[in-house]
This record gives sequence, C-alpha cells and structure tokens, in this order.
Amino acid sequence: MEVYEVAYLFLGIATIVAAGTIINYSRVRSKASQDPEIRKAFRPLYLFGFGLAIYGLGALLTYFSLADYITLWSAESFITGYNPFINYYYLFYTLTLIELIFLSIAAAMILQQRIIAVFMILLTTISYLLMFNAILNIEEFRVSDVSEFYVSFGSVLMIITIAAVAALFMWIAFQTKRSTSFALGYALTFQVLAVPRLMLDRMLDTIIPSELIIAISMGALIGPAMIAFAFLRPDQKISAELLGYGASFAAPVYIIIALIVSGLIYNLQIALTASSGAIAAALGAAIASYSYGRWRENKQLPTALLFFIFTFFTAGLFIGILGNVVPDIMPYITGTYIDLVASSLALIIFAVVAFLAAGYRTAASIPFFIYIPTIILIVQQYPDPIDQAFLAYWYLGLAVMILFFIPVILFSITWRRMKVAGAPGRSRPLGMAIGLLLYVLIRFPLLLMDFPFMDPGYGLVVSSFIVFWLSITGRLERNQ
Amino acid sequence: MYGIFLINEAGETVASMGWENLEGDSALLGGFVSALQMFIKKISGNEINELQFGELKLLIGKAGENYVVTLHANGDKDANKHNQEVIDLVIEQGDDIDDGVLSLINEMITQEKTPEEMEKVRSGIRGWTSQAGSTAAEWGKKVF
Repeated sequence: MEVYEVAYLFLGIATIVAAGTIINYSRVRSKASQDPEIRKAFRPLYLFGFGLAIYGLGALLTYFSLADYITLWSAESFITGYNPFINYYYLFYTLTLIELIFLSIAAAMILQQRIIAVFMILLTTISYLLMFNAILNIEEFRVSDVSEFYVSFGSVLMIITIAAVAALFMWIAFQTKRSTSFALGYALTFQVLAVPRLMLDRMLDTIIPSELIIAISMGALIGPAMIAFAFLRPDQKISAELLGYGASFAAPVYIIIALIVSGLIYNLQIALTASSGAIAAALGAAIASYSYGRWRENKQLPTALLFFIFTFFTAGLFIGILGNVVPDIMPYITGTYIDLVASSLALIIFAVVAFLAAGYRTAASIPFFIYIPTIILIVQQYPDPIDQAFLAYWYLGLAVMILFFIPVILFSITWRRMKVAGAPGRSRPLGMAIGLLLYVLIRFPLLLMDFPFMDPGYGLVVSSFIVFWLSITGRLERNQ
Repeated sequence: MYGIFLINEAGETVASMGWENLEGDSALLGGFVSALQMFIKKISGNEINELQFGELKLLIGKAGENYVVTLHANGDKDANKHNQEVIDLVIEQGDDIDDGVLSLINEMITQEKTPEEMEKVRSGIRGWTSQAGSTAAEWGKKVF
C-alpha cells in the first residue's frame, strides 16, 4: 500500500474523534445556556459534527477497502477487473456526498437561507447520479471514457460544495477571530484538496507528484487534530500555535505510517526506535507551538528563539527518520544532511541564546562565525556519506561541537547561582542543561558515525525531549 | 403606461405614442388639455395634474414650456414615478422629439432597464449577501 492510502486509517479515526469533540462541545455549551435562541443556534454545529463523523467513517472504510478487507463488487464485475478507482473509492465518494448533505443543511441554517441547502443538495444528488451512471456504463462497456468524465465532473461538483462550506467557516473565523471556526475551515479546505479524483486516475496512477499527495494527506491529518485541540480549549484565539499542535499529531502518525508501508514495523528494533522518535517529534512540535504561544503573550526574544530551536529540532528529527524509513520519499543521504543542518543550527541558536543570557552581547555572534563556514563546507560534500564529510573538516567540526556544550555549561552555572540564592523557577535552567546534554550526547556521535540504517539515537533522544517538555512547560516546578 | 403625449403651449400635439388605446383624434387632446389648464388657472391660480375616467387616468406634468401627458391604468402604482421619469427624459432630449423618440422613452421606462434600476438590482444582491454574511457572523459569535 501507498503511504497516503494507510493515512486514510488515521485520518478516519482522527476525524471521528474530532467530530466527537464538536458534538460534545455543542452538548455541553447548549446545556449551559437557558436561552432557547442560543440552544437553537447549536443545531447546525450538531449537524456539522454528524457530517464530519460520516466523512471520517468514509476515510476509515476506504482504508479497509484499499486493504481488501471490504469488497463491494462481485469478482466478475468489470469494476473489480478494470476500474480500481471506483472499486476502492466508491465508499469514500458516496459517504463524502452524505456528509455534504449534512453540511449543506447546516450552512443553510447558519445563513438562514433555505435556497442554499436546496441548491447544494441538488449538486450533491447530481454528483451521485453521475457516479451511478458511470458504474452502469462500465458494467456495460468495461472501459468508458464517458464514465471517467462523469466521475471527474461529479468530483468537481463535490469540490465546489465543500469549498463553499469551507469559505463560510473561514468567513465566520475572519469575523469572530475564533480558533474553533478556523479549525473547521482549515479541515474542510484540506477535504477539498484531498478529493481522490484530483490525484488518481482510473488505474490508481497518480496524476500529480506523489510528494504533493503526501503533503496534502499530511495537511489533511492536521485538520482533525486542530479541530480537537480547538474544541477542547475553545477560548484560544486564532494562532499558528493551533497549527503546531495539529502538526505534533500529524508528524508522529506519518512516521508510524511510513513504518507500516515499508514493512519495518515487524522489525522490533527499528519499530521501537522509530516510534520513540515519533514521540520525540511530537514533543518537539508541541514545545515549538507552546513557545510560540508564550511568545505571542510576552514578546520576549529568548522565547521566540526557543520556538525556532524546537522547530529545527523537530524538522531534523522528522526528516531524518523519514530518510531512514521511506527512502523513496526522502532519499537516505538527503535526509541525513537535512537532519545534520537543522539539528546543528538549532544547537548553535541555543549557544547564542546562552551567550545573550549571560550578558555577552558582542560575543553572541561568535558561534555563527564558526558555525556557518563549517556547515557550508560539510554540506558541499553532499552526497558523500556524512562521516566522510565530517572527517574532511573534523577540526572545524570539533570547534562547533565544543560550541554545543557552551549552553550546557552556562545553563548549569545559572542553575547553581539560582540554587544558592534560593530563587524560584530554577528547574528551568537545570532542565535545559540536562536536556541539551542528553541531546548532544545521544544524537551527534551516532549521526556523524553514519550508523547503518536507523541509528538508535533517533529513539533514545526522546528522553531529552521529555526533559525539555517538563522543564519548559514548568512541570518540574511542582515537585519542589 | 399606455401612452405619452407631448403638447406645446399653443395646444398642438407635438408628438404622441399609444393613442390607439383611445378613440378619436390625438390632435384634439392638445387643444383640450391646454384649454382646460387655462381655465383652471383662471379660476384657481393652479394647474390640474390628474384626470381619472373609468379604468384609465391621465397624468399631466410640465417639461419646460410643454405639457407631458401620460396615460395609465387606474391602479398603476408606478404611474407618478413613470410620469416624472418621462418628464426628465423629455427635458433631457430638448426640442427634437417625435413619435419615435416617445416610443423609445416608453420602452426605457417600462422595461426597467434604466441605470437606476440596474443599480437597484445590484444593491439588492449586495444587500442579500451582506445580510447572509452578518447572520453567519452573529451565529459564529453565539456558538464559538
């Protein structure tokens, strides 16, 4: 199976969970109000939740269909023999149309214009009839261009209808500045992009680059996660923080999918390493989002830098693991080089932060002066194995490695001073120091050694991210 | 609007359109209207602006020196508006008005294709979308 095909399994589950949070939110909020007007206002949201659950069911069934657990057509049918697209995506197509009927009614209730629902349901009906005719044609003629046109045109009508509802929720988000509405609009926008006919032809050959399909399916996975986060904490404003939390769900899920597709899930050591790495990537993305959210409130430079540091950490880890697990999406050597650049850049920014925090404003630029030429020289060795590239410039590389330890030392000193002074919040520098030390010691030796295939560092590094998460979000503080 | 008649101060019918809805000679109308206006002006100082007879009515307005007489159904709600529009167009047209021009004026008014009418349709659509938009925004504020 393809990566984006397995993604339907997770998309389906996540969407059903997201629909559950919407319905639960509506239930709790409408119960809390005595005003019958407000109670009535929640009806469209219920409908939206039901519609989304049906879409989730469609995605889930599509996975089972693609995995041949569900068979809709008889073995003699021409659909089974000559039209894998309809064979596998019929359920997805039909259930999306049923979702659209719910969404159309919800949209009409929101806009208080009955005619809109009539028009949209008409479009949906035409979409279904086109598919129905296409099936009859294929059963008659085996291969039919007209049928392909019917299915494509039905999909276009479907796209128009979903896009209209997506635009409505984006408009509401624009007016109310609410993250909940934005999450719904985002998820629907990706439903438009993820309409299967935009990507696949009759024989399930891809008609757009497969990298783009994977990007779309990752974006689609972020949607339900965003909905769940937004409806669990509805008071938050629209912010990239939400997108980051969504990504912290999609990134590890994608690593797991890559494991399933490549069959490496049966190799215990690699599966363990990659799933720990997936957790680390989720934590990294969550810390980045958390730092971004705090930066929006306090506008402090070190907080903003933390955001960049953890974005680079996560990107490096994620791409590095993908390079190991699915080389046809991300070639191994490219993944390793991107990993090296992203992780080392993050550590150098850490060194700069440490210099700034210690009060050496001018000296803060020194790490960059050493780092930039080094990394350029090393990257020029691409596509040589990374250990050779490093050994060619080991003297510069060593200087950079020493720089990595500076923040560890400076954070420890800060912690010592705070401990002596009995200052509160001293777990933060301590956590940073330990987390960084773990990160540098676990990741770099194995990365630079060019360990053959999926080095254990990718998994072990989760310990470092746990320490970072606990210290940055202030959870270590409670124990004192 | 069934007919338009343009009558000068001397009581001559300069141009007419739609006389076939009435019986007799259109030239008589001019003399009749100007005589009537002169008489009314003498006894009251005002001019007459509406005549009703059975199912029909005549509206009489002034465009410069000329009288503009329009013929309507008795229950026509737009009668006064149309009469005023005819007067405006006649003033705009100046002196060279004949039967053909009046027919054109009649078409412009009764087919409601004037720029003002188009603007009304457009603002109607705008009104509808902005109403639907604000309903949606209000809903969003209630629910989210």
